[in-house]
Amino acid sequence: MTNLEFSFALFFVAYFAGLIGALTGLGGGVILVPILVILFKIDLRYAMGASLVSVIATSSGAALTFMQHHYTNLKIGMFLEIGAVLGALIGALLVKFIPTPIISIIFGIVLLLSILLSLKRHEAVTAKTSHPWAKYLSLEGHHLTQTGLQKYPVFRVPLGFSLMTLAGALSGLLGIGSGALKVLSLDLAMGLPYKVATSTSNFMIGMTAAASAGIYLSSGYIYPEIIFPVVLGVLIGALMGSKILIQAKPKRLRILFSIIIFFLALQMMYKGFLGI
Amino acid sequence: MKISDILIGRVLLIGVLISASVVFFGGTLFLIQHGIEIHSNPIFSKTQVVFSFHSMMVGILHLEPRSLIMLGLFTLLLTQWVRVFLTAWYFIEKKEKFYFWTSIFVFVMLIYSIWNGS
Repeated sequence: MTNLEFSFALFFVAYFAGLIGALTGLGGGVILVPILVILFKIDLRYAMGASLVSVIATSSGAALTFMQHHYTNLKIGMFLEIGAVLGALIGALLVKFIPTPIISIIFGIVLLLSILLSLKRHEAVTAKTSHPWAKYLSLEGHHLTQTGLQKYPVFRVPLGFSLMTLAGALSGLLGIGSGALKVLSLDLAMGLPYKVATSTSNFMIGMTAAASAGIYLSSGYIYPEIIFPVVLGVLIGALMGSKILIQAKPKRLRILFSIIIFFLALQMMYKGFLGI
Repeated sequence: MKISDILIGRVLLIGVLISASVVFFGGTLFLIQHGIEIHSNPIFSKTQVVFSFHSMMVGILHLEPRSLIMLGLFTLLLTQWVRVFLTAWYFIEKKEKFYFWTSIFVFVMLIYSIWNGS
């Protein structure tokens, strides 16, 4: 295969990873890494580097769409980002010390958990009053409902903060955005309205990934020739995906893709156990 | 200047478009120069230094494809710094001292991450 053919193949695969990532709500990175490793035989660390950069690009590209609806809670986003950014730095530094087969296995497990999370329906939280920290830090915000602008309460701040630190660490360790876990902390743990949770998560993903990216750069996980078709592919795919998402209800698609991702997860774990 | 969430979103979109254009330009140059060569996957080695700010700047002056792609990535990272910086500014305008310092902390961590090894 020539460089030209290889770049085009990477671009198309990255495009579909970005598209599927947006349609399933899993994000491009978590799908991209196993494909690059299994199909293209790219070193896991270079695959993670390419994925991390794509995550920053998609988060930035989608920000305006989210911001236009004023759903992003900047206070919650910045407050939790303290945990996420520290987690990301630690996660990215750990890549140097953890053998790649172990990272493969962790990747597989995180992939399986992400599928479960994305298919799970979110349940309404029963508590009505905000956590004392949320009141003290004035984290509560307003969102538009059928009855007009309404204030929403914020629950379990310490749990949300801890989960977000974990999300940051996984983002740095695996080169992904860990959007599924971020939305989980905001939506299920802190009880934010779903749209507020997804757009605040998107706001945070780019910053968290940027924290790891610096360490990835200096550790040599960023390989320009692999990066360029991947970033462009994922970015275009993700933007197309978010357009389709508005028009269609892709429930069947989500199940179909979840099955594919399930097998990718198994293969990552299998590779890890083989010690490759 | 009045900072709003929409303004932050716009700046991010412009940043990502500039960065993608630079990456695209560098990538196209790479394919023009090396497109017909046979591809072989790079083997990861811990001693190989892929990025240094100085060599990137020198490479850009010579229109070297790898350095241009790296410049695109650097623009993308810069966009994230701007995101945090604008959010800090937003909180200053809202007189939210605590959140201003929160943003500054995140900003310092991002700078630390890039300074850490390069």
